[in-house]
Amino acid sequence: MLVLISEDPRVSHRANEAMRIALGVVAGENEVSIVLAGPATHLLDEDTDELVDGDDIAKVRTSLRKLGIPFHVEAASVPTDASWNADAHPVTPIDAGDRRSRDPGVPLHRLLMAGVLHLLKRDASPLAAPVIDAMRRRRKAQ
Amino acid sequence: MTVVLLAGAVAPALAPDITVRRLADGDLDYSALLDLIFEADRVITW
Repeated sequence: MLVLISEDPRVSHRANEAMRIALGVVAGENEVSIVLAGPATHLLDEDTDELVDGDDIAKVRTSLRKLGIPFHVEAASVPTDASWNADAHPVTPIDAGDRRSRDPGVPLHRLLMAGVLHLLKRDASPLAAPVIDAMRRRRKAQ
Repeated sequence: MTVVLLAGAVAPALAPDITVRRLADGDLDYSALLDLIFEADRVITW
């Protein structure tokens, strides 16, 4: 499952709610990838007092870090403040402009052995490609 | 890892080891797509 969070935790409780839901799913059997896009990257701000439900955010972040769940973060949206991600939560920067060439000659048996199936709709997020690539690299590293 | 482009989706550039299929004449029909969905461990819709 992929959880894409784009709400601003400085003004909305929805960002924290999404992260809590992701933590709940992690506790089950499903593998979860969390993407922080746009202002949602502030979920990793050091000073959680400035965030809606700040105390809760700190607890959920700690739980996710202990479980080894990284955040995929939109690189262009990462705050320049040096205190960002002061807890050194594992993050994977992604870039919506990242584009690579594709070899069309992939054999069919690879398709049949595929573990993850991504379905791209007409208005698919531009983050799809970099997130797919980040997941691919993570699976290779495992 | 497999990417299926549904109707109207624009193909993104991806790494060579990612299989890209298209729901269209000459490639996947809905029945084949359903098979892929059931074969997959995880399905992510974008």
